[in-house]
Amino acid sequence: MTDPLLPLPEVDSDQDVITRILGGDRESFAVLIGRYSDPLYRHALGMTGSPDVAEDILQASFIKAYHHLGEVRGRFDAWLFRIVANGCKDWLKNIRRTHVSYEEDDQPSGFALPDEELDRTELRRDLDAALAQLAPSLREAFILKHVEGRSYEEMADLLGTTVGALKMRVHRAREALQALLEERYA
Amino acid sequence: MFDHHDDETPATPSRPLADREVPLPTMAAADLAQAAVHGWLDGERSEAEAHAAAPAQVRFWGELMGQVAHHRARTAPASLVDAIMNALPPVSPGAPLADAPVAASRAAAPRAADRPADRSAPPR
Repeated sequence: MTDPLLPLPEVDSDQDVITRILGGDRESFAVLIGRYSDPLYRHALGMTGSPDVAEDILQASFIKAYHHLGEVRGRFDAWLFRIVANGCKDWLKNIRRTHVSYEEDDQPSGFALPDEELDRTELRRDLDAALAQLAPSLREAFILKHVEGRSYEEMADLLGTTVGALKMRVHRAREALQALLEERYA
Repeated sequence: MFDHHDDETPATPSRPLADREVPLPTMAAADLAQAAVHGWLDGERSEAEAHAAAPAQVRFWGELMGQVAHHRARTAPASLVDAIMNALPPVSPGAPLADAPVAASRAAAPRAADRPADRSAPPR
């Protein structure tokens, strides 16, 4: 049990870490990667449906963040999230352009990885496929709320919109998912 | 006998018309059930309340959220930190460009670094 009289171990704030990196301590960037890679990976994976693409987007985003680190104003995590979210949206735009007929066979590789097929239930696979059919803004809202478990207030901070607008997006996303899946599962 | 306003409510309201309460349009049962389920999924209502309004939907979402929880447990590959660190230039972000051997860092991460730089410009 923790002794209440002992001070809690201090964790450097993002700003402290950034100051160290900008001062020449390049290795400290690993602290920021370790701090944010898991939630951002889940976001990219939910948006793209592909582990390979999610990893690629994260790598590109962190490298971009490193190059522009001196420009961070305000919260680093929100700034970094927007870089990753933009990377996901760009990828989705490109895949729509290159895959004119976006049918089952054209799904991103994550939907049909042989290794993953083994431990996926049918519902999980269908859920992924249904998520892929949602408009990106609805999918983003659903993932932030239900996969990442964020509050509407946090989501509003990250996306720069209102709680009411986000509730509407999440509700529409749920209704769309229900329409796509309930015939089979309800 | 048919006057339901025979208690303390005055027959003629004293408040201005704009302030008077008006009855809300009645919601259909399906809309009420949907609202209860969304309220539960948003953490604003109890599961029991949602279940009483729409038991089949609560079962459906309970099962679906079980699968969503699987996504929540996913973590970034352990190799990601090293991959990113190896792809960074060996100087700090504020250092003059002449000191940064960009070609070396691109070779370390060809897939990520080959993306056009202007496609997801970070916020300024």
